[in-house]
Amino acid sequence: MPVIEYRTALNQALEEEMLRDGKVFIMGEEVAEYNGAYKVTKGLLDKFGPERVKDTPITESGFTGLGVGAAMMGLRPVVEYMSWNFSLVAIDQIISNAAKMYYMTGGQFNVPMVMRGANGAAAQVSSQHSHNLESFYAHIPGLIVMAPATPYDAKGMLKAAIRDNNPVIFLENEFLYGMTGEVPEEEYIIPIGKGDIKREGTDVTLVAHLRQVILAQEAADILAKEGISVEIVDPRTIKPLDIDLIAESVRKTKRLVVTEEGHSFCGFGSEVATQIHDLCFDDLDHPVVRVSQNENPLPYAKNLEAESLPSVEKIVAGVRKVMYRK
Amino acid sequence: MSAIIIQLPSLSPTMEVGTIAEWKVKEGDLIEEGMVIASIATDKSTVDYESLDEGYLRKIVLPEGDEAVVGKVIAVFTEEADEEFEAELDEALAAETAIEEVVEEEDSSEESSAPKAKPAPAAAGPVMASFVPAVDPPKSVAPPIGFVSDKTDVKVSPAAKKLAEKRKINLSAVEPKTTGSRIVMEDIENLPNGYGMNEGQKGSGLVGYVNRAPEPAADVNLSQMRKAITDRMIQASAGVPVFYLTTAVEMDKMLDIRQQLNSMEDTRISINDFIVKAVALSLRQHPEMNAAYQGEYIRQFNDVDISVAVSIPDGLITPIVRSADTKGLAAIGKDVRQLVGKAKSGALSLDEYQGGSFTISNLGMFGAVETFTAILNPPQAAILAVAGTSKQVKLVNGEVKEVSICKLTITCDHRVVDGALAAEFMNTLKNYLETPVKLVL
Amino acid sequence: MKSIGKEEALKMLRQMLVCRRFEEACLKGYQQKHITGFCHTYIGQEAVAVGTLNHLTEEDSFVTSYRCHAQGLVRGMSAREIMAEMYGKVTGCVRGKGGSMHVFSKELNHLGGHGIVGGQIPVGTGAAFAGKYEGKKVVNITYFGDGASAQGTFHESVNLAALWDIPCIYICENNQYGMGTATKRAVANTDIQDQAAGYGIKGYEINGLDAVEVYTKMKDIIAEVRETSRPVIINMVTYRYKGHSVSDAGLYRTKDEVKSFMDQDCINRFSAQMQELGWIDEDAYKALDKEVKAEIKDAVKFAEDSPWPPLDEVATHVLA
Repeated sequence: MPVIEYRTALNQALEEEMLRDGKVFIMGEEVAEYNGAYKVTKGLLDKFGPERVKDTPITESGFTGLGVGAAMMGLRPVVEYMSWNFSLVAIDQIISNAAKMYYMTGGQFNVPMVMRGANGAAAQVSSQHSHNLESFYAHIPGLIVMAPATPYDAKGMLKAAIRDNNPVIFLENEFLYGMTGEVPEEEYIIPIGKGDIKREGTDVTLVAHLRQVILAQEAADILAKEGISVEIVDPRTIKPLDIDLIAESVRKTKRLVVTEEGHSFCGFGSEVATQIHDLCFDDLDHPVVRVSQNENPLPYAKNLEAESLPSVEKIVAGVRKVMYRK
Repeated sequence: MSAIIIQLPSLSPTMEVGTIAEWKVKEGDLIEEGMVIASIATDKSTVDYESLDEGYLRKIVLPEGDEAVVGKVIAVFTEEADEEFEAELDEALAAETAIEEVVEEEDSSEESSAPKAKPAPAAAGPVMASFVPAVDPPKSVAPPIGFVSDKTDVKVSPAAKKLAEKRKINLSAVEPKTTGSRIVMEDIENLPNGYGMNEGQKGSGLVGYVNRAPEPAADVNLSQMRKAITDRMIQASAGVPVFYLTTAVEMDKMLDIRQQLNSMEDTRISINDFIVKAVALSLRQHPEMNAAYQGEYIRQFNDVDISVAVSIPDGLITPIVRSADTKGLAAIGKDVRQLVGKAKSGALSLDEYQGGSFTISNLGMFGAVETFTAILNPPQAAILAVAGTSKQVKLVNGEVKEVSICKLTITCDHRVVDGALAAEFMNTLKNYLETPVKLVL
Repeated sequence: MKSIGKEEALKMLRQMLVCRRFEEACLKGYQQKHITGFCHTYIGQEAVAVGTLNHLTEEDSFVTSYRCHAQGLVRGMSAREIMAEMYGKVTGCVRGKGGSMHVFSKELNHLGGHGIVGGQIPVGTGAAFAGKYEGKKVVNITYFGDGASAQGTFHESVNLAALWDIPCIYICENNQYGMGTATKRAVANTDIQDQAAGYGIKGYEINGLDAVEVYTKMKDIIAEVRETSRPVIINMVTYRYKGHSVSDAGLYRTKDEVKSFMDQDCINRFSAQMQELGWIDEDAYKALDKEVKAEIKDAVKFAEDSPWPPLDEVATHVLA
């Protein structure tokens, strides 16, 4: 099986879907002539031309809303945000228009639009360029939120997102673009809302998505040496959440740690913890532990950034805590 | 050609009632759209009301100074100056009255007599669905049951508790070694099944928490007796479906016979002895009442062993009159006296108070008790509460007669006994007690 | 007027009357508490809707703000389905889920009814983009108020449309107040059409109180946009007689000012122009108005008689 980069997997998904459906088009900043800020759209301008791969001005609200209107008329826009931080200037278009359209039109107009880009911290890019927005968008009914961790997931999930009839928030990560992994040549789709066991284990369930899956694997290796067997569950889709898969794992391990790069207050971990308390209260040997970013804006200085973000060490500590280990 | 009914408008988002401060037009005037026809005092201010309709103002229904609720007819227009409008106005007023009546009926159920604004006819929206969490609530959450332990601050993780139940581990015997304060999986995973249980408990269905005691007050030590009573009573009332039947028994004949018997030398028969005997014979006639609930089945007993509740300084105990149906009143009386004596001195042996097929709780000696209900003595299916005997008047053939009445109340476990059966039993019992000669034979 | 033709003029007159009587019925329904929430009426601005929408083809689309009932009616939606929506009934155009601000019709390419000032402007731009993407000669009219012309979305959208040759017609329904704020207190250059120059496109000012002027000028403008695919900005100067919404007491403007505009009423003016040409007389006008009133009355009755949405409707249409 070919081993390719995460960005290439996304690129393949875009190309395949554009070949399959003429209504799919891409727009965003630097997606065409520059070949994408992170090279996800590399070569697509040459293949599909400027009518289907559109460089936009730096005008997120404008081109997001344009995407909504085009989607209402039947097109399938794939909107790239160079980073999800910039989606905040388009948030009215995403929430008031894209998310609410199908409902407030009584089911008349749906918005089949994918919004994708890098989410979360990169390397020392400081407060305004490091937002983790999964909790923001997952809070709003009418949006689907996806967050693939591997090249395999990235390709299969992006194809599912483009074919879905709803607005999809598709979260990637700068560190992941260069990660490699096996991706089959034949076509496959990963259904929305289907999680994945990234590592089997018996003692602790560790829920992780996006880059946290990588950190979780490292933590699990360390813990294995201490005799603690960690099961890593990657929900892949944040909303709708595959809570059944997580619950099934927790019923087996009796312990749950959720790690996320975003902040803890009203965060993704809080949601998982609440749902697991509802479903598996009598199975828990320890309250659910959340590992997350500190409650401060992300600072620039390397040591302060590291202090703020979740890390392998923090995940290991979280797992030890639910195991009642010192 | 039709009349235009003008209703009191809502001129502010919160307006419910309004008063016509002034009519600015008079009957017969031609009203144009946008013309100010009245000033209306609302809850906030007095505002001009611009007509949204056109036509001739034919009749002012709500005079100046009168208050009305929003939606009430205040005037009627017609398109032409001389059109008929009375029928349509009457219809509108009738509809209004009908609505008011309905509203008033609804209002009458409330205590408040203050004048209330009536909702406009269609203002009542659909009932909003309240938010229900998408995930199912936990299927079955066991009631919080504690466990006997000297370490009253020890907690147990839900998973450890669940495992202990499954493997019949007595948590009171487990040390919270891992955390020092909470028993967790690691503390019990490697313990053998049945750890900390005595032999009898291992097989009982009451896993892990056999001795259920109420949370002790900080400085009062519980006697074993009190613990046992607590256990039994809680077991009897928790989740057991019970019902009660009461009957009033005329005791005069029985009191007569008792007096005659007790006038004999060496004979001491109590009212209680009569009741024990009567109950025993009634149970013989209704063996379904002489039974116990055993979880998977109902056990009917051959022997009629009557437990008699005895109050002792420490609490309560129920010594047993064995085979009471085969014994005479004197023998029953002798048994009871012996048992009570032993009970009070703490000398009862186990087999003298464990077992029993039916219980009698007699508070007759406390004359003030007119009637009461007793809590089941599990696993027995029923218990009889005997209250005090009091004098009451009764009409017999037009004559006032004094009678002695004792009220008996039976508490039945509905899983074993149904109402009709209990009623028949009570009938038989009443009959025995009111025909006491049968008890002497 | 003559260029419009008698038949088209009669249709427009009727459409304007439908809009006005409909909005009056809404006010009445609001006063009787059948209609709640927000309710923004179009009374006074009717000439804009009839002078513009009548030039659209079936495939063209349009989008507007929360003042959206009249456009729906002129485009061909029934008074019944919009009134039922006002009443929150399941027979409403969006099944009682939107209310006054969210009139939509997929069948008629009515892209709504939007509640956030300026939020609809990129949406209309996208609809126009979609038509061009698919190689059709279609246009979109994006209506917005003078207040929305100060929003960033307006600039972003016009910039994109000019840059990408998107056939979008940006009509600023300049009713001279953004809620209670006079345009001159909110927009630096109240000649909103002048902004077009900044994007290298054409801008026009049109008297929105004159249905004849709106209709005739828009006919040419829309044809040109359809042909050139170049967007335009129209400053459509008009006036609303009623408050911004029904809870607006209108203390920011004088009664004399309101009256001066009511004296130029678009329906009266249009009717008078038709009468001069002998296309309609007083009796025929009255008969037409009566017919329209009956239609609106029927819509109100339909709305009153319609059922509430069933409770399971609350969870449908969250996701497609």
